[in-house]
Amino acid sequence: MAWSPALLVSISPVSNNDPDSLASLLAEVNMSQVLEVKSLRKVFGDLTAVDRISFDVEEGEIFGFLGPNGAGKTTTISMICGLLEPTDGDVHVEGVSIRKNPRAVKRRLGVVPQDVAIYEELSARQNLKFWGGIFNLSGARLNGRVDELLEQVGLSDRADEPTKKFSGGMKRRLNLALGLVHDPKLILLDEPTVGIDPQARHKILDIVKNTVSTGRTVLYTTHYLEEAEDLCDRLAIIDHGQILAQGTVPELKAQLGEGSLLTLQGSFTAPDLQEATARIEGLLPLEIEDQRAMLLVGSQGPGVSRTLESLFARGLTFDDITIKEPNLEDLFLKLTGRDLRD
Amino acid sequence: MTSPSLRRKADRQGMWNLIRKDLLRRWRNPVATVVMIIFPLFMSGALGMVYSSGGGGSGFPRIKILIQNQDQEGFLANAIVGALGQEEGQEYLDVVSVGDEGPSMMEEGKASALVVLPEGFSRDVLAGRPTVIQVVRNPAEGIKPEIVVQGAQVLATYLDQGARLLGDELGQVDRMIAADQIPDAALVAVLAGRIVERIRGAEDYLFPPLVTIGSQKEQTPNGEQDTTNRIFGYILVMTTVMALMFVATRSVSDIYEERKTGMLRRQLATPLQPGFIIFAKITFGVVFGVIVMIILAGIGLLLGWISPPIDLLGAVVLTVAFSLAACGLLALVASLVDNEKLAGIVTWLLVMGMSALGGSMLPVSQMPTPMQAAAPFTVNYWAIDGFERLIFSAEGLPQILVNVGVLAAVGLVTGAMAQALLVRRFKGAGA
Repeated sequence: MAWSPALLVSISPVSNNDPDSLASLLAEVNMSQVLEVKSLRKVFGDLTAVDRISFDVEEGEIFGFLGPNGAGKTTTISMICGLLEPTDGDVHVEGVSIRKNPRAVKRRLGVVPQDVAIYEELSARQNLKFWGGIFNLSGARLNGRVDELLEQVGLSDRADEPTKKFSGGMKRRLNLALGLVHDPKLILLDEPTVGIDPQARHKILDIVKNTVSTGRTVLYTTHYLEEAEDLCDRLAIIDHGQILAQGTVPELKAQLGEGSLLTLQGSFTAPDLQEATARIEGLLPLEIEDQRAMLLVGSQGPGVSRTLESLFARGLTFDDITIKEPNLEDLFLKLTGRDLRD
Repeated sequence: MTSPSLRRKADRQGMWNLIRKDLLRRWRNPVATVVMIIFPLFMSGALGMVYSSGGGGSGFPRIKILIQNQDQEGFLANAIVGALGQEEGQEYLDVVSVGDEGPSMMEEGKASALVVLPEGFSRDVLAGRPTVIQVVRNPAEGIKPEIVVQGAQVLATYLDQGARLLGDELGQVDRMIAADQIPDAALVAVLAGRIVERIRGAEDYLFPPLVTIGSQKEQTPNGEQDTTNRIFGYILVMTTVMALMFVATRSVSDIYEERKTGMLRRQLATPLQPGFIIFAKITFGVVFGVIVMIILAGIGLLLGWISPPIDLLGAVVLTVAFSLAACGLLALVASLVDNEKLAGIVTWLLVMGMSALGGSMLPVSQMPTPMQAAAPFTVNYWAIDGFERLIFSAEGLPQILVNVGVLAAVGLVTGAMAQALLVRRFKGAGA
């Protein structure tokens, strides 16, 4: 977003004592873009955890941040919510810079950390009231919001019990609700489904979808491919602190090209297969090891049956052959040469 | 949130929100708090019982003293032994005359102290020659032998002064007693007159303290009970100050706890400033300390261990200052030592060291001289001194302002340092 001096002058009399108000007014200039990350970089000693990444998130969308453990997802989230100061670059939430006005940015964010962070001595209601109080909610407004959230996350009937008696799934749901209590514009969900059973995960994903349906925006980090494909409108694939690809799921899949994914297992060696595949047009080897290989057979090439015929003709034999449509995991493999769950 | 006044109101609400949350957590998980409250009561009760038992119902600790009088012929030595064996003294003292077996009895720990009046003691005192009353202390006992030593020092002082004042006259009395005949009445009258004249001449220097001691005892109809309660009260003050250190430790160590559970990180992702969160934690420690002190003082009053009038404002202000100092010091430890286990060890050493040196375990007056000199460098010393003056000397806030000032200064300086260091750490590592 471009901030011209003329624009600043024109609105300064309205709120010259409050940088938050100023920022809010400025933000209205471009309401559709809730989060803008520009050339963000974080260096810890010799380690570059995040390396000049840029992306933006539009209002009302779920933006997925997909990458393996240690890819830089949590570091990025930490810089967006002001926990870590970026080495370079900046983050704007509704046009407000985290560097220039971190408090105003934080007021707009609801952060749901990866690890469950609740006060186990307190009840769900007391936890929610405490976090609401931090954002200056009080009285009937706070009580109403707390009741609404308890209902939304399915904890109304256990609202006044100490949360140490809760199951893992219930704690996860409360963990999520704490980040929503002040009704933030942008919700940062850092792997909210780690370590819970499928049923509890399904419940959490439902809550996230419902939240977005009310106009909120979500930045969702995960290393679960299915979640990302199911939930996210757009995705960024991150590894070693760099964004390798971003776009909608179809756009990302398109980077693999049209075609089929061929997985081969047998008693071949990697050099033999490499030599054999090098002569086949339109064939992209994603991974070739001794006795195992994954090949993308492009739509421009000879097709799966012709490819297999060529390989058999070169004396190669296989014990197992799998043919499937490529997915994001295959894209990740193509981009990084390693599995998403490594 | 536009005006400064609204922002201040929001800050106050935010502070109360953080403090209320921690109070609720303590309320929901009260075991540690109850232990912290029971500790000083238990210690006061147990130690008070030890010091107040064995007094034949008087409540005052009875001290067993062995007296080895090697000056059997001396008038002064016999007078001292006789005085100690009188009925009034037996309420507090169990005096046993011994011969050469005295040292071996002491080795067996059969008495608190052995007092040896050397041969020729009376003659030397009356002649103004240096002489020594030897006191052998029982090392297994803390306070009782010390009381004997203090008593012997008082005796020596009075004997010394008495000998200087009445040396000639007492010498004549000694000779009269030693003589095997009835003294001349006129000589006795002249001697008595001279003694009276000398004492009158010195009464301005001698009698005021003696009269004061006597009158205090007569004005207290329930003096024995008061003495017993005072022992409980003193120990309650000593141990309460130590308990407040534990309260501060628990409050400040919550920073580590909240960091471990991710709550600190979560709070830092809100508009709350890191310094504000730390300030709130220290403020909670102070509030919690005041609550614990009020509970303990209430129980102390109910049990009669302490009694009104007490300057309540002074007590609260002193508690606030002490809790601030304790929280500040312990927060400084937390800011300097990132490792929780190491911080726990350092904190424990600090709390126990300050408690031992500052008078929470043993009255400062009973400590060896080097430890007494070190005591003012502890926060416990200033707190205990202040509380004792408020409770037992009926002094008020104006008289303990120095104590409050020292503690508040320590709290503000260490608290500010801790806050700056912790904020720096949180910003650097994202908590």
